[in-house]
Amino acid sequence: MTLSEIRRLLKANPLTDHNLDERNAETACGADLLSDVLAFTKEKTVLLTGLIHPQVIRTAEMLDLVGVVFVRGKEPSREIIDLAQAKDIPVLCTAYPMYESCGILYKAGLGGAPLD
Amino acid sequence: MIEKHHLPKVADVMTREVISVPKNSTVRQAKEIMRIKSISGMPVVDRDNTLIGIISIADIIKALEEGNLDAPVDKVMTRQVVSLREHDTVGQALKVFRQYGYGRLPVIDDRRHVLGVLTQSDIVSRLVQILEIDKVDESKETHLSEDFESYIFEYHIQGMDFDRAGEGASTLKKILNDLGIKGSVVRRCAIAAYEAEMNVVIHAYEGKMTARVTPKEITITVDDTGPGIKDIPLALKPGYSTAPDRVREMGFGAGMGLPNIKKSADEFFIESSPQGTHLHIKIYTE
Ligand SMILES: Nc1ncnc2c1ncn2[C@@H]1O[C@H](COP(=O)(O)OP(=O)(O)OP(=O)(O)O)[C@@H](O)[C@H]1O
Ligand SMILES: [Mg+2]
Repeated sequence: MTLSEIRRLLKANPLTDHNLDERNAETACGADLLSDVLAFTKEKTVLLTGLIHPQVIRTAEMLDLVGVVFVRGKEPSREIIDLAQAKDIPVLCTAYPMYESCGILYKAGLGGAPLD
Repeated sequence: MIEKHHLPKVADVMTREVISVPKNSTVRQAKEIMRIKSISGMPVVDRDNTLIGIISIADIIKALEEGNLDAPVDKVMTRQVVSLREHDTVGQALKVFRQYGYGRLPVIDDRRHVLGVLTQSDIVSRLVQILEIDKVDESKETHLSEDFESYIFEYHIQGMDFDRAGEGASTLKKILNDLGIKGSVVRRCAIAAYEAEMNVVIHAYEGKMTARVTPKEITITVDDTGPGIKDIPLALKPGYSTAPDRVREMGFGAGMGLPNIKKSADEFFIESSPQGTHLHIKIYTE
């Protein structure tokens, strides 16, 4: 599922300048604990999170995440957006809370990662 | 063979547009300049741009308390100026920053003329630029894994510095990609390096990360200056964490860092004493 599809489904706002049609996610991960994300996330994942902090972008960078969606309408700071742009991580923001966001994407066919 | 990067000098990373203040300006004027430019200190100079002192926020607060806001800056400035020279290496400059704990240092020539200023974040951001320039050069020359014997990377980690936390692992990741290391291997290195760097930032005073890259393996060591881990088997248990609330609010403190480093590595070794923790990991490139 492309990020532009995700953007449409979540009525999300893109906060960085990226071509969202070109970014394809095979699965998603909803989490607020970065070390969990670091321990369990596979490649080609889009992260949904309610955590607003520059380390979210660092984590996305380390894992080559496809993108980050901040949920529940929380707006990240300029600093976070600038870092995301510099590290080439597309960032979106949706008004839907975590549970709904995950549910909408799951229902639209974006499955979870297989268990190890 | 990749040539070892020439050691970057202070001249390569300093800011040349210096905001300085003439010695007969008032403290009030200095305070305004610092507020507008959002800087925390400025060199104080003589008529011919000769360095005679530094005025910092601490000096200004003191002047404020003593009702000295209209005094000339050279009455309240700090006279014992620690300065750098253009040809000092970045490593030497970092040592001076650490030793004296100053946020910014003036760079002067033999006649004490101010040539620039340097902050620790200048160093990091310019080094990243330098590395990026190298990336462009390297892609032209297409260095691949066979073309190098070994590459050494070193990075200083400051405890509690959450602004830069992760920049070491990020730089290492970039280097590994540039060296043509396989993506899945780079990813494991980046995860391990990032978790280890965060542990120093969160749990230790300061530390150093080194990486030695050869076509066969990547060896990463992270050493810090304490306070150490009392019970290592306990610390290695998934879910065990002593992270304070402030750190948990940033998404850390799941107690998954060390287990994940271990999982990502082919070889894992950790030892610790109150003087510091030593982490050593190896990841094979095949
Ligand atoms: N470099 C270090 N110096 C001192 N203590 C450390 C260091 N690294 C880890 N520890 C101790 O080991 C515990 C477990 O570390 P680990 O990285 O697994 O989890 P965490 O850092 O608490 O949380 P997470 O990594 O999931 O964000 C830490 O809470 C801390 O008590
Ligand atoms: Mg940790």
